[in-house]
Amino acid sequence: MKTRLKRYRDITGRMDGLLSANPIITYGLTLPLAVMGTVDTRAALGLSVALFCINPVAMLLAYLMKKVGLGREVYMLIISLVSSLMLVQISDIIGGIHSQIFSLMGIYFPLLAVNTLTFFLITRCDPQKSLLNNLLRSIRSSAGFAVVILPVAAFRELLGKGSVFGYKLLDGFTIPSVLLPFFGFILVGMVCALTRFASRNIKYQLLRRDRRDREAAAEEAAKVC
Amino acid sequence: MPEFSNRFFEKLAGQRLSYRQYDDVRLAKKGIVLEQNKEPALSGAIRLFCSPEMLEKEMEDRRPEDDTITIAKKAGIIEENTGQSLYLLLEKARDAGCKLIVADALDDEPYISSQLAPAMQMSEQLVRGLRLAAEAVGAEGLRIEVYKELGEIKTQIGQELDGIPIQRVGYGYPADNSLVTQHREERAVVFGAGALIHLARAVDRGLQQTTAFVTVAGNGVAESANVEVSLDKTLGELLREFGLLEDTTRIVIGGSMRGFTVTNLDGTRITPLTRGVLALREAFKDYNFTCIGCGRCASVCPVGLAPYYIYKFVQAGRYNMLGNFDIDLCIDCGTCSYICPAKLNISAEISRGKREMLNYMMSRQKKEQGKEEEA
Amino acid sequence: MNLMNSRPPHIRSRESNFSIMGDMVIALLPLYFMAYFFYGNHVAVLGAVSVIVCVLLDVACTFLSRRRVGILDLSPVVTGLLIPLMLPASVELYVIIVADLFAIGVVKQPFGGLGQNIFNPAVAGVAFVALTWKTQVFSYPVPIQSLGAPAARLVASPAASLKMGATPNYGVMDLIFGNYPGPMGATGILILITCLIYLVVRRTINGKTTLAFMGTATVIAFLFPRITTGRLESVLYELTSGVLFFGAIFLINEPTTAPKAEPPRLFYAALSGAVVMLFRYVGAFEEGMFFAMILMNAFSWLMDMKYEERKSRERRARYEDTAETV
Repeated sequence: MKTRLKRYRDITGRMDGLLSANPIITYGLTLPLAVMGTVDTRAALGLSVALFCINPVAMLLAYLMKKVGLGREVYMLIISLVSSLMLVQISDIIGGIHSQIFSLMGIYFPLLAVNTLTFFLITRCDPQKSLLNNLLRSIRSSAGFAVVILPVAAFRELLGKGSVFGYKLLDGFTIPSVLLPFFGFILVGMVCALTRFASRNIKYQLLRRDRRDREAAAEEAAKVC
Repeated sequence: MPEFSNRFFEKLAGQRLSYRQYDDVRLAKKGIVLEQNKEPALSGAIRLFCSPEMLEKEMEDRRPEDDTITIAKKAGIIEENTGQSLYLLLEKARDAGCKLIVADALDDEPYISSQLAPAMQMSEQLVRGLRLAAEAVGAEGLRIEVYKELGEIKTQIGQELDGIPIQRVGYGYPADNSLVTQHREERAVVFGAGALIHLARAVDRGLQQTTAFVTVAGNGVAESANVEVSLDKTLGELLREFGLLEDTTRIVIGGSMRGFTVTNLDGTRITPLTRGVLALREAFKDYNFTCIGCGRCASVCPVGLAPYYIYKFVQAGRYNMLGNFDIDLCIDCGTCSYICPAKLNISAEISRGKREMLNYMMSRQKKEQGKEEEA
Repeated sequence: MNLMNSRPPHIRSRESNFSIMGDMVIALLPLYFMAYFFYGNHVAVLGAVSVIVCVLLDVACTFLSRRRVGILDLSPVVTGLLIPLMLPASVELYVIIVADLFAIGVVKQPFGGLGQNIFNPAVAGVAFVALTWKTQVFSYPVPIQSLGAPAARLVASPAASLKMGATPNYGVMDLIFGNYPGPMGATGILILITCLIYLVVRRTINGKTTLAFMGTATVIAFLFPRITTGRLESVLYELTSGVLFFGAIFLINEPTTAPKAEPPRLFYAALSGAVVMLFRYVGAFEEGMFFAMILMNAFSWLMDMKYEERKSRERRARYEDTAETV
């Protein structure tokens, strides 16, 4: 009979990259994308889709190259080149989301070729585990990235332009300086702080409930004897 | 880890008794001028609160050929600043070859005047005691030291007392620490005024020390005065004699800045070290203020430390960093706590930090020794 | 009789956080009266709303951080009173509210609340609002003429004229009494001098810091005038335009964000004076005080630590490892 805390740790451990070890919140990777790519929800969606495409391919290549035994400089260089080629191909898909998406993403779309999340994943790619394991981890990390930047982008776009995904929701009152980089940093910092606070709180509550269960069980055992 | 002297560990090992345990720190700044509140205790007559059997008790084993130091030993006189027996201090001074005897009538803490009032009102005994001590030690110079910033007092303090110069010293609290270096250079030894008066009585009239001079003050007693109280009285008896009020919240003995509170009144006796009993009515309401970083504590610290940093590190539990802030130079004067507008217990926390740091350093030493033994 | 224990020292000075912050509040209220005289009812509404929002948010954040809530500490009141005084009287209510929320909710509370903030909350709040609604924050109503309808006619302040290199045409009397368009609380120079004297006499702030700040600003205004009608005129207009003098009294002397020990604090004030003038001369906005203060606040800690290290060497040199003689 597993304790609640252990079950929670199992769940978050299995969702590694999404619920725990989140690339932005835990490791602080891809901060420029999180800060400047989140001025608009469409841009955030575009970046997330692009990452979803790049990361598994990069992981596959890294797995194969590590199995062969190539060094880090080699596979990183090759994967960056492959990523940039992929970005050219993906741009058709992403252009289909919205017509102005490239102007909204600006320079951060081409920068995806050398983004820190991909590098982090391919250096941590473990050739001793199965390929499926590594691929799933890359997908979970990309999902973790998307889960963080989409709400942040929605919030900033709502406050800054009064719209979400291009559909105007608020009329009149906007705070344009929310779209500046400094507010992006503040917002990402607050999201990190809040999620850490929540996770610590959850663990503490589970610990307390476990302790109460244990004490109740001990009392029961004492009564029987 | 910075190099701390052996004195640092000695200071932490035992209970701090006298300011003179911090004689290796030279002060950087003048102190702050506190509200003294010495009247009406200072100028009023010294009362006598003595049990009949303790009044004018003669020494049993006095012999005519005894010298001053032996008389001091048999009379059991205790010097009120250090708590040591007077005869031991006289012997040490004689062996060290001191040149100047100083009578300590400083009383730089607010409310306390238990050395100054006897010095002014029993001046012949003080002068006689001073001369006897000088003769016993072999010193030529004599001096009486009185605090400078006494505020508005009704007693006139002259420039000399029967040929002995009275020097007004100290530019603020703490005054005694600022004089330690000067005394060392002049080869001077300091005795409390009360001890010298008891010495004069012992030599001239053969009396033991059965009383001590104590100031009773504060807004929790109906009348404040200096008292000569016998050593078998309890705090409760003394305070009730002076009209202890019902809504008193704190009883402080030993001095308003450096003393400690007592809650068991009838179980605490008066000792020569008591010096003053304050009954205070205002309790510190829990204002729940935090440090706002005003920096007043650093501007008044006589040693020139940065108490706000030390406080923050002690509160955070990072005792290993305290060495960088020279925590061993703190003289526990309490000025930082006095001035803090947030009413934080800075001085108490720094003392706690010193103890924790000692524990930390000793545990690290043990670990290193353990590793050496393994290797 | 309930006897309790306390730690030494058992007597304390009469100053407390409440009295320090209370003095700041008392010093800020005459500025509100002056602004009310010049600009009418809207001033009172702005001040009241600002204070209420700041206090509520502060209490809520302290409660959420599981710290003990205390409203005796008037620091959110001071922040709430400071923010509208740096903005024009014609500003909309939502501008003040956003500035308050940013000041308390982003700059003060997440860093640990009172005493732990790195940046001055009032300054950062106004800086955020100045970035967002630039035209609203830098267009001022004309005093007395726009009583009742402050937003009717908005003009630029002397600071904007200086930025363009033109001499503002307000006489010395107007400048001293505040009869010219400018931030609500920063125009009445005479009242500000009175507030400064009050605070210095009550020992709430240290007059030397203000002097260092104004001194550096004066020197730079004298040596590098932006206008062509003479150096003394340049000094007069530079020192009385914008939030400079107001900041020299209330923003530089904020206890939490300035260095704690005196020599680094004077250095910080002098350097701030230089940086403010630099932002004014070559910056994008006509008033550089807000951004200069944020920049300097980031270095307060460094100045303190460097000074502490130097002082530690001096203290150690004075330490004597001697034995007791008696």
